[in-house]
Amino acid sequence: MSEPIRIKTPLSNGDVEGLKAGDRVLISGVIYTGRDAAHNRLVDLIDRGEELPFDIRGQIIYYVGPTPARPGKSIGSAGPTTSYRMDPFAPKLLERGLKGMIGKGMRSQEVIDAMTRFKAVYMAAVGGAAALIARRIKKSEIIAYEDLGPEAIRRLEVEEFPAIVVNDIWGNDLYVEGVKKYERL
Amino acid sequence: MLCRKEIEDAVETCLVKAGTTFRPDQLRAYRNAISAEKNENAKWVLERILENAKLAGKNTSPLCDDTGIPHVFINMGSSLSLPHDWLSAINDGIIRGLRIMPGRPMAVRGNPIERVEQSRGLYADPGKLSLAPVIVKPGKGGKLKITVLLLGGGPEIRAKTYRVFHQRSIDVVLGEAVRWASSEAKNLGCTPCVPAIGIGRTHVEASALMLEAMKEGSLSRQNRWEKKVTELINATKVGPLGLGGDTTALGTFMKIGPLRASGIRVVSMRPGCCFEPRKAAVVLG
Ligand code: SF4
Repeated sequence: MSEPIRIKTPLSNGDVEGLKAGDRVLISGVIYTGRDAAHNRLVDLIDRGEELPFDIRGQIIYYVGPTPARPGKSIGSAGPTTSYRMDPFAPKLLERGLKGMIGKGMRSQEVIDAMTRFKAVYMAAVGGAAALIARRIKKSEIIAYEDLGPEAIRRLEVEEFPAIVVNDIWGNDLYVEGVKKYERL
Repeated sequence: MLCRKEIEDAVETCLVKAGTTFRPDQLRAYRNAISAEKNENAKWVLERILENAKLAGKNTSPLCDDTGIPHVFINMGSSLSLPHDWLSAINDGIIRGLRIMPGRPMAVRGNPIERVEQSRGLYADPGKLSLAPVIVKPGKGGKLKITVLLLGGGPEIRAKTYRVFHQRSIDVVLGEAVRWASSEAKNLGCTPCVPAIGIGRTHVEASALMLEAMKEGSLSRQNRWEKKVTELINATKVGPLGLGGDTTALGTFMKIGPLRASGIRVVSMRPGCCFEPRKAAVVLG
């Protein structure tokens, strides 16, 4: 089995150009969390021309609503949530410089087009692999929307967070091509 | 007579076990799938699922951050004597288990309309996630068997209970369930799935049979119809995580109840996700 590609955030255009649908990656650095409620608020800020609670350029947003942390742990279980709920909001964030999204499930054509246009990738984390992923999260702090509970925006420091590139900047979609390829075998 | 505390403690233990551990049949099914899988990415995903399960079991941490909605299935022996408040003991055991595991705090606050609209936010307490209606069926002698199941949100979005015109053929009925499961598997995200199928007379009964299939099913013990459903779903090549591969379904659980004279069967199909069924059982008495 080929080795996964190691990437470090923040991502540059060059970083995302080097990623292809089907690549396994290990992500290290800072990533942010957010689900639909938080995305709604971020897009409201953009629409009102206000500042976002963090500099989104080059960043990755992980779609997750973690379980509460046990004492002494940085985070509870933190597996990916279904991404389509973020589809109405994602293009505006991509336009602002977001370079990566991590979730599970297919994206809308609008999001796929925005990834091509603004150079960004969508990665799938292993659905439900919450305990495994939580181990790769070294630090977690809430930076916005604490009232949303598990859906607040968190800043995570991750080491070798495992994911697979699903949509790359050339419009490839592993959900479509992966299945087609194995249908033929 | 069983005492209240015994029941409460057992339910708490079952809930935590259900949410944090793989059973031997799941471990075996994953190991077999890993060695049979031809797609490298699919193999990698299956290995990560297994690694996740091992870590969750070791640390007693949830398998998935969606810790699911608790369901309890009871098999009650006819010569069993129970404390008058046995049902509230079960409820309290669920609350304690959710707090200890801990479950994701996802109970919605407010009056019925506010709950539908989710306009008053969520409770911070995982224990507020109330138990689904308990199903009680006859059991053996003086025994009380309690099974706790945790049902995740992904499969709920993809499940379906509907009538099927059977045309006096099990192939027709299961063929329809396979069509539902196959079209939903690619959207589930958390494949491989384990579809549970209940076939009954009413929607309530078919859903209860589907839950009973999950309760009783083992991935190491599959009848020919369950194997056939699994094979047909695997032919879609959706694969783990929907990224292509041989393992779209790990197995199938099916339960057929009493049926009525009619041209239709009510079929309930729930495409359980890669960690399901999350279940644990205890026998008391
Ligand atoms: S579908 Fe299952 S594994 Fe996936 S997030 Fe939901 S509960 Fe977890």
